[in-house]
Amino acid sequence: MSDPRDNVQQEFLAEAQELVEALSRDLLLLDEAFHRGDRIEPTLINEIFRSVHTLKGIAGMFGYQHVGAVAHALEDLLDDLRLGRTSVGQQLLDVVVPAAHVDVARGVLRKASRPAPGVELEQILARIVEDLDELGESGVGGEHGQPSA
Amino acid sequence: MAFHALIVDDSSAVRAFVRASLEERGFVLVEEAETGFEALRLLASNAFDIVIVDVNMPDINGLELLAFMRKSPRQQAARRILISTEVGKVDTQRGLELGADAFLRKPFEVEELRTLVRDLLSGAEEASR
Repeated sequence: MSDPRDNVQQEFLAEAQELVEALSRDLLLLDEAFHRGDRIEPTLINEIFRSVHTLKGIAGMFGYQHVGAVAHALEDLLDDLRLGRTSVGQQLLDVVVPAAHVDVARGVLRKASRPAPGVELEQILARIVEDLDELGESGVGGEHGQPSA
Repeated sequence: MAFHALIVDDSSAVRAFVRASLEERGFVLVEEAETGFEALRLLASNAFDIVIVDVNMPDINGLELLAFMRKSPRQQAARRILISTEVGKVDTQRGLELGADAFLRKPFEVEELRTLVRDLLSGAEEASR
């Protein structure tokens, strides 16, 4: 029997692309605000969290488990930021912000015909999850961290 | 005759997932609402057999929609499923108080959704006999 999700993959891909674009834009704003020494607005952290949270939910439902795993690791870290358990710092930005991550996400999503990302992308994604988990476990945003609220 | 369902979720991917999962076998016809306001308009003018609603939405949230449905004469027979990424204790308790019949946690599977809807609708049929 056919998988009913096959007929609506485009809905997922379109929404996931929008979320990744929004995430990319908001992470750059976060990076800029940090380097200007501005106060990090809680609304910005919440927007980033909301994009990641939604991406995690739909990725799991459409069988993109590798995208869901990255979103989950990022969500845990952002939750710590939202609740003040960690702060925005260089170390955190170095892991979270790189445009390469967004390119990876775009690359994964472009493979619309099947959710499996291929060995190379799978390794990159696993590395990102590892970096995010390590950072979360260390409990610090990095040098010169500043609270988000 | 097909059952009439409403899915309320601000994610177009989730709405498409629910529609594709339930309509494929033709026993449920699914209408979609992207916002709580859109859902209110549909709930005011249609009697649904089952309403599937996301807790977290930007304008009117899922719990507020359940509160509206409880007072709406048109929706007294409707079965209600509350969906969320995390079904927390507070939302669960409040959802039950407001008449939720079941909870779904995102991400959920096609068969999980189908089984739940089938069970709720067969229960509704038996109750109406």
